Amino acid sequence: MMLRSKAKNGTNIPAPDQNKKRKQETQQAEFIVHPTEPQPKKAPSKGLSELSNGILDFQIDSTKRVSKAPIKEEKENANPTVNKAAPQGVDAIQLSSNPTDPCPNFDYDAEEAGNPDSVSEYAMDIFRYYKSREKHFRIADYRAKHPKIEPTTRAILVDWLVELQETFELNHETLYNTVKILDIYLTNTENFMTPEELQRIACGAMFVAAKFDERGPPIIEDILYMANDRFDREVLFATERDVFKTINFDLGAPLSYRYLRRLGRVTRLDMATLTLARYLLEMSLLVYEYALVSSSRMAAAAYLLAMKMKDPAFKWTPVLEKYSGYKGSDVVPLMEHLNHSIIYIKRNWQQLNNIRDKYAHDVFFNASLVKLPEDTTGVAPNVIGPLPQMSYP
Amino acid sequence: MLKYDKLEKIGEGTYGTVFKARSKDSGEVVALKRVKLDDDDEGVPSSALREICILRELKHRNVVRLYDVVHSENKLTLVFEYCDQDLKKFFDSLNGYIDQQVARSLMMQLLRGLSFCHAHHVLHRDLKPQNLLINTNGSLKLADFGLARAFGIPVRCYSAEVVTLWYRPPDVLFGGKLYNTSIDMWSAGCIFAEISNAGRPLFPGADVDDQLKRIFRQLGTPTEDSWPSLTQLPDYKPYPLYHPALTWGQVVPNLSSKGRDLLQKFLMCNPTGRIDAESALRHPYFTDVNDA
Repeated sequence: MMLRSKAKNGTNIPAPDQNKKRKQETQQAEFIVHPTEPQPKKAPSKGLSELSNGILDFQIDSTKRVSKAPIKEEKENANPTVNKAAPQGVDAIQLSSNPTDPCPNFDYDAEEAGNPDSVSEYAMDIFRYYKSREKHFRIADYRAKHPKIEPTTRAILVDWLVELQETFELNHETLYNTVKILDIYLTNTENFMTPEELQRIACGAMFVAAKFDERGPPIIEDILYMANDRFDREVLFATERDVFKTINFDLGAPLSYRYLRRLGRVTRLDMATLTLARYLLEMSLLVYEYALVSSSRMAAAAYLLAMKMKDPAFKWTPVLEKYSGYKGSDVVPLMEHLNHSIIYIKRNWQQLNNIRDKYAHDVFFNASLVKLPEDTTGVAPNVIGPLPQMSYP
Repeated sequence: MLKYDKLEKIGEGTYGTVFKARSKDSGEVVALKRVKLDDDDEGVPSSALREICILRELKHRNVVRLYDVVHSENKLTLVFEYCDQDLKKFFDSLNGYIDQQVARSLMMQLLRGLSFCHAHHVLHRDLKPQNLLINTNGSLKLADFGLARAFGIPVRCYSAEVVTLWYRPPDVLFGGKLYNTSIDMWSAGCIFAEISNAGRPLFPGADVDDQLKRIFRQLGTPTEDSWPSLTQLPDYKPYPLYHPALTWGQVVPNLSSKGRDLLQKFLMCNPTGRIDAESALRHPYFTDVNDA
């Protein structure tokens, strides 16, 4: 196809000098909290690593964690007129926590009360809030609006975005958000996309996604370089404005990556299995059909598939039900579909290998080399097959 | 801008000029924040982009409302609800005296707005009187989200170059990048003391060093005992072991004992011990209405 992919040449394209400098800065600055997390290109700072260990060991008194009921009422009653006036409406956080809590005796956030990076006072609120917002970012099936965009064109583009994410050491959140922004953009537009145009829009999407979440400066020269200088700064800026406006200035979509992280943490999942689930979830970005699926459910399916790969007898647990909001039966059909899709990708899209190459690395626990379960969907190996019936989210 | 008549310039925000204006359609008075988009720069400034996204999400009576975003050729215009003044100007009008019921109401509203932000994954990171808007009816609204960001869980390391010096917590003054909602709670504490003293800032430091000294002189210098891992903060350096010279009764003479108790829960040098906004709202200072 038209889009370029460095990995096919088997060599890394040297980045311009400016990028090197930026990378060095990033290496010093961007230390992720968990010393055990795989971060192949980033050298953790020893000082900060010790700091976070120190913090992890430190406990505070748990009196901070008392009932939150009074405030929740305040939130819901916050402004009765707001929802009507608001262009995207704000969802009052659901008041009652699940009346039939599948495991009332386990409270991950209470256990994490002394750990500052867990933001345990607000974690449950925030994930409920994410879920309530998913419907605002739902992708409508846009294939009919863009008949020229083949599913493979989108897959090639996502594969290329993975390459950008790796080369410029962007957060995974930025990658997931870029794909989401791109899909929302395509939902809100019609019928003019060539692969080159699509690549330009993807660059604009990554540009705004990076500004939203990354600490470092925007990656203008990087983006132009990676896009083979098909367009210049002015065009990138115009595209940025177009993208930002077309998605209604809202970059805060709930990301499946964050839901998966949450499930990994509440189950205190080992890094190898979490990384395997991340590999599977990232592969799901290649598949157009999954853009139409709720982010939280997609994360749950990737989690379940990873667990099945490690232990075929694994069953969905009450803890997972509590923190995902899904029962096992809500997740299994999608998990099986995802398994089929990844087998399909490996068989039919062999050249789209950026994700597989990335996760074949030791620091990613060779996740992409782990054997997938047997395909039980009965769908022909040369098609993705229709999505299972699901509610949203 | 065809839809609005500009009335007057109000001020300069983090990244753009703010005007008072009237809607031609409804007659409603609004505040317009204009962001110029120069092609030789970085495109849409990150601060504007984040403020827009974040305020589109946050709809609460104690958070300034963003009504609309208008995009024209080379500028973005943010249309905000108009408020009469900011807390700084309100202080100026007080002549050194504030009714403690008013103080309590302002603080409660600040915490309600803040609690809402935190429960909706937003850190403000620049709380100060200039960024709190007040209406003549006494309502308070958090504004200027130019330094705000959405946080994930677990939080990552973010920038240490946040929060105006006087309201910046000791962990961030020491270069700490791994912070959470506690960053705003310190600022809230400083503002609490300032409100109760009718506008006298609590820790008006001249630079980072002076700022830390002022804090430690009031709170005592923290140690590894009171704050494990303190010495591993990026810009940590030792300070003399100050012991508090002034009592809280001297520092905030207008505050009740319950108010002083709450104030100290905000002003914990160790961020892990700082009270969160929701818990603060349940403190007896707010719940015991007979407490004057």
